[in-house]
Amino acid sequence: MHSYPILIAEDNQVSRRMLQIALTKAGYEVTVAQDGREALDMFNDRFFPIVLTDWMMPEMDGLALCRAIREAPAEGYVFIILLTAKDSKEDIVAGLEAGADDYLTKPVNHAELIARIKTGVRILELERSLKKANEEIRILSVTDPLTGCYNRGYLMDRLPQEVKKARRYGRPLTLIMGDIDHFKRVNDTYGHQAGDRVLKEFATRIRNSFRAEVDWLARYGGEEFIVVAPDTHFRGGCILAERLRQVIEENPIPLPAEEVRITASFGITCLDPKTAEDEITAEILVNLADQYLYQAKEEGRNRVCGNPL
Amino acid sequence: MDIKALAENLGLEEEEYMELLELFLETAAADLEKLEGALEEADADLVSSTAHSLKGSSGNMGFSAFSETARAMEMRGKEKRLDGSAEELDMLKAELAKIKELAGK
Repeated sequence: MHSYPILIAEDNQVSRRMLQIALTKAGYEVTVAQDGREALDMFNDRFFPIVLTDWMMPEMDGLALCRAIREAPAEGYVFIILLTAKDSKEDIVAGLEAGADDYLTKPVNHAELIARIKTGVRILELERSLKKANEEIRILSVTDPLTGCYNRGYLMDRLPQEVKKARRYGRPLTLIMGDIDHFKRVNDTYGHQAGDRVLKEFATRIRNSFRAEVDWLARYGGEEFIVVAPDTHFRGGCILAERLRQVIEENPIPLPAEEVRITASFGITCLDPKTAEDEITAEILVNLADQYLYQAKEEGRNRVCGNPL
Repeated sequence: MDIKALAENLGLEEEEYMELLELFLETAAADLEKLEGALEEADADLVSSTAHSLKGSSGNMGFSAFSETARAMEMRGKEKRLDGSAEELDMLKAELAKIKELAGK
């Protein structure tokens, strides 16, 4: 069975049944309507990527159906073939201008009908592959290629939205900035490939330690990462940061040659809309987390420092 | 003209064609009655739309003589002319009788 179901709108019983038999035989899933109005109702209930419509029909004719389908927001492209007994140039132009992709003159030759449907399928397949490619590009554009977590561009895009949301719903928002301690030593001792492996593992462990689908992680720069935890007050954030610190400290990272033990420092801040000033922006939150991270480094590393707002 | 050839022309199995033929005979008989009434009432619009429907289904079935006659009726109905339509109706009836025979009815 083809994955592109076809909707047929045709008022003539014999023609309708004939089209249904021909297309079903060719392996298509076919639904029939007896006029344009019924076809439009069916189309609004369920998306059909291919519509085959007669021109002259009671209630709503083929041109009106074409226009209605083109105007409605649809989940994808609809390939419309108009069936017509008319074959004057003016009529064909009117049909194409109403939104039909192609037309067939009646009586319809079945081989030609199937060939035209196949043209439609090629176009729909092209659309499908374009959509897939666009989605892949969209994901790539927000992803850090090494660690697979979000990149800085995405962080700077989305964090202001999280701040807005926190304020609108009066929910606290916690930000944790983490940085691997003495990361340069890892690179110097084991090489950059090992360094990359450590960064990857670090990101994976962090992601496995927070709430999936709620908290999210972005790579801020070199070995600096930011955890955004919506709906999380400062105390909850501290528990999370401490857990992250322990996970990193207690689980050595296996390298081809040996295991490497690392630690990380964390700076944490929390925006509580009930107490925080209105001027606090996403940028200020990041800067504060960065300052507390610096403090954690100053105080001896492998620790969590921070304050709520 | 035989069923096998007509079915083959459309790329259909004989039994599929027979199913459509039954449907055609049923709708065409009803349409011819409608045409007769429309002619009595001198309702040119109804003559035209009924002839249009007959033209479409007969053309699809491969009955070109029937379809041509229906087409002529449709065209003249559009121009509000009903002269000669009675003769054409008779021609359609005669064609339909031939088709019935073909169908073994």
